[in-house]
Amino acid sequence: METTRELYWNIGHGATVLLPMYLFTFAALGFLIRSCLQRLSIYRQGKPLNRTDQRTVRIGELAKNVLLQSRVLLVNGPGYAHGLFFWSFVLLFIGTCFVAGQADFTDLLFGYRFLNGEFYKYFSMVLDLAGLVALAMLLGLLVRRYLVRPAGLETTFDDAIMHGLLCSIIITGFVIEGARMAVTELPNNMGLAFWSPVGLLFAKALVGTGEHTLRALHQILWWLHFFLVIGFICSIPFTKFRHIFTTAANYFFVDLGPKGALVSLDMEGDAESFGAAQLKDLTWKDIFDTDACTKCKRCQDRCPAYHTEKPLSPMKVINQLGEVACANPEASLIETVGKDALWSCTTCRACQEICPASIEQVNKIVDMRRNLVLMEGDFPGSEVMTAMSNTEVNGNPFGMAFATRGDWAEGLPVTRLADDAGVDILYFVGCYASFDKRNIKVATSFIKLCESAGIKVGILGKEEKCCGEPMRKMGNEYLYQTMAAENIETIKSYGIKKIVTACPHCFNTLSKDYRDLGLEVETEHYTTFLDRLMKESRLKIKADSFDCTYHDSCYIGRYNDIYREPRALLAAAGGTVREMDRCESESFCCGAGGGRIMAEEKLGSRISESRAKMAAATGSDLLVSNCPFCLTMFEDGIKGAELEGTLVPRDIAEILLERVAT
Amino acid sequence: MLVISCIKQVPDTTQVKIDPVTNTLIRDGIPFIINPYDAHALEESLRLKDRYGMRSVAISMGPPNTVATLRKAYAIGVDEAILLSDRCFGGADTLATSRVLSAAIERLNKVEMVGIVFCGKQTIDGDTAQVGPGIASRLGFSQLTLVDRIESIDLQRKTIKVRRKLEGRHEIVEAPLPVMITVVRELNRPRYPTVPMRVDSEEKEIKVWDNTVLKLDVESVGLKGSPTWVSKIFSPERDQGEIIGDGISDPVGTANLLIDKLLSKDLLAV
Ligand SMILES: Cc1cc2nc3c(=O)[nH]c(=O)nc-3n(C[C@H](O)[C@H](O)[C@H](O)COP(=O)(O)OP(=O)(O)OC[C@H]3O[C@@H](n4cnc5c(N)ncnc54)[C@H](O)[C@@H]3O)c2cc1C
Ligand code: SF4
Ligand code: SF4
Repeated sequence: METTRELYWNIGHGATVLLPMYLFTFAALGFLIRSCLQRLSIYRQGKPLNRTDQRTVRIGELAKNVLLQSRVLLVNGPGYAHGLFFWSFVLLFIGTCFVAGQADFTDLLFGYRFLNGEFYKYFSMVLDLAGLVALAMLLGLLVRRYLVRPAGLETTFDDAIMHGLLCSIIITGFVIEGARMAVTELPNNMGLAFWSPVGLLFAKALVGTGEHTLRALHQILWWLHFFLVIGFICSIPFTKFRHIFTTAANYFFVDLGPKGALVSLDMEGDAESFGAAQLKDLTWKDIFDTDACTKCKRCQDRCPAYHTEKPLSPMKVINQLGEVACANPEASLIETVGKDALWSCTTCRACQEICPASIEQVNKIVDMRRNLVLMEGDFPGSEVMTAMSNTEVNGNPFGMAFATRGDWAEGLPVTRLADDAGVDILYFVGCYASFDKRNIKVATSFIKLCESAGIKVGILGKEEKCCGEPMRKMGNEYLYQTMAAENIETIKSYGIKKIVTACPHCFNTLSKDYRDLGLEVETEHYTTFLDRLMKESRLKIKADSFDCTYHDSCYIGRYNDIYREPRALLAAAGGTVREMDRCESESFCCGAGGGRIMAEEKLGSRISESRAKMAAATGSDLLVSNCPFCLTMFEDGIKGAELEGTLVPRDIAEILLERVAT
Repeated sequence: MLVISCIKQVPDTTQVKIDPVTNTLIRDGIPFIINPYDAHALEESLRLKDRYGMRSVAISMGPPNTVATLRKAYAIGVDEAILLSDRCFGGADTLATSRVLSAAIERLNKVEMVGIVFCGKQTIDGDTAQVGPGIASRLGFSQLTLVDRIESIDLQRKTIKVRRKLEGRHEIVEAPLPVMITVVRELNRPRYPTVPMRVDSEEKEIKVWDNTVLKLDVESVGLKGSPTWVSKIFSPERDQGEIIGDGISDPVGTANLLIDKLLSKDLLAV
């Protein structure tokens, strides 16, 4: 007996079947394409942005993330369920194409059949298992959504339609297979039946039913199955199913970097408005992003503002913008999202790093802030406005005399570039290390480490200005560009070849954001710089064992993917790091980013206290970080969380200095 | 009706140090700012502009570099900014300063009625708090000092009702327009300039009125017209105080020690 099955068994293969079948299929596909094209007009409401350059890289991103589900798999549990479901569904889709391809094309036109013999057996087995896995994953997700109901997961009618359609497509598929097998394979081809194990189970369950009934059942379910698939196709544009296309396309349109760099506004040109007040102020990509969101809430789960009961959820922001785009394009974005939500963001990038759909949340929030600050002069509080005014006058948010900026380095082995520009590195100190007592200790440690490694360090002293990062992230692009222009001119005038910073915010700004404004000097964070000096045996550290936990600052971790070097430095110093649950790319912000360092935290609980508690939970009594903002926040957070005496915050540089081998 | 704010450009004095040798202020590396109280005066004039449709004018007497401060006044929305600058105005004390400012206000009054003149409570460099009252008496305006709230303005009856902030109490007073009002910080929160306003302010003209415009007797202005002059500036010597307790190891105990000490010297009442 031939190892195959009769395609279209019990259905017939005449015009009465093929004609309606293909008519409906093409009509559904046509409807799908038309509805998708109609959606283009929604995206077109946005401003232009080039996201079709570097096509090979983009196609690579697309392939990797769709086929390998790389971003989806960043989260275990539901991530793997989605991945397995996706791969199974793709196999089922390919299988269906094979069937249609042979029956309605190769066999019909050329009398060529390939679904037979050994190949058919494996084909049958693979599809059967794919169906089983798809169903199992789907049921798992169904239980999660409707019974477990994880906090924050929004379930709407969309989800019911989607789960309902997919489950019924797979189940009807199995029953059809079972009915066919019960009539054809069970009685006289058991050998083949074993290659469709799930179908066999269904067939066995149907044993005892008369052939006539089975055939009727088969026929009805076959057409039902078919119309469910048509329903699925037609529902794509109107349900979250559209993510099949939009999310995939979003991988192609991904921001190719530099990671986390914001678009610089043209402050000199004749733009009449700055930032995003209305939909038309966003780019088409910002609007497209809202369509790619699957409401998976991964971003919300990781948002430090959401975690501390502030009125911000990155998922909600994206969805609110999406609603404006579809229903009310004239609406005020700021009123829709809410000022308190906008001001609560620490630009920690946790949302963006985890988003399976490569959505860019941070730039949208900053764009709306830009409108508030640049067009309305609005800030989260008067303390922030004061910090801005101080920076305008004295180049630092504290309002300390600009002329005293270099005073901290009195007596240390550093030169001021104004006196001698022949240095190995320019240490761009930043405001906190220049004026804040606690952070001056860190700066001093760094200088001494450099001295021990024989590096000649220069600083700008009173010629240095705030890098402008907190102001920029708060939305004050004007002030940022003023500060940046002055710094860039000064740095260029000394012909500096290399800059090192001890502040992740200065580092990210000088190395990425200043590029746009004309600074091309190689810039490094001290952790990678010292790590290299250590490897080159220029910096010699004696290990002296200690226990600690390490906090990955957002701007060294997620923004710059520097995870290894700081840990290598700690290891060299004899440190055993007890990792917090949220570490590396999943690290939890200290609360200072996004310019929040300048603002009082009036809403919800304190982010820094949450983080201090996470650190204390490791059982370690030492919380090490690499950022002046983090250190400042932890000094407060530890007090607030009543962990004084239990936990001490320190910077890597301080720990290394205690262990320098002389 | 005009609402005028008198603003003075001052060194950011939180940082001014006195040169111990020459006993003069070290101004090197100290940026200039608008006198903080005057920023509140300016803000209130803009609020009245929005509320009553008054025209807001900022005036300042000072050297030519004062235009920077007047430009900032434009950036937050004044309708006109005028710099009163002339070599012969230099070295003025409060009397001579108020003469020049009064002359400018009178000149403005000829074209459009001046309803309110706002001044800061005092400056952070001179600290005399005399210029505002000086203007009021010279012009015969009602004088309302230390105002922390404008209650209402009756344009029909030409009266104004304000709240004054005094030691431990408030006072509501009413006066006929025109008035000179000196303001305290609690009055309002100065606005932050928007970018379009900043850009516009770059194009705005800052009028300069020198003595050929104001036509004051040169003997009555500047150094010559000033009966007072500063002969010496110095930081008072202070003996190092007594250090009691240890705030780091025993904050509560130290605080108690401090309270006892203050009580014993009758500086604290229970
Ligand atoms: C350290 C120091 C000490 C001084 N001591 C004296 C002194 O003892 N006696 C004396 O007569 N002079 C003194 N002067 C000079 C005095 O500062 C000037 O006369 C100044 O122009 C007015 O005084 P004031 O700054 O104290 O203003 P205040 O009377 O404190 O100022 C009140 C308000 O008047 C307005 N105003 C003041 N000056 C101007 C201006 N130039 N332009 C526009 N509006 C203005 C502002 O609204 C200000 O808030 C001193 C100056 C310095 C730097
Ligand atoms: S924005 Fe991204 S992470 Fe957040 S809910 Fe949407 S798809 Fe998920
Ligand atoms: S950047 Fe951080 S704080 Fe801002 S929305 Fe995303 S997760 Fe929340």
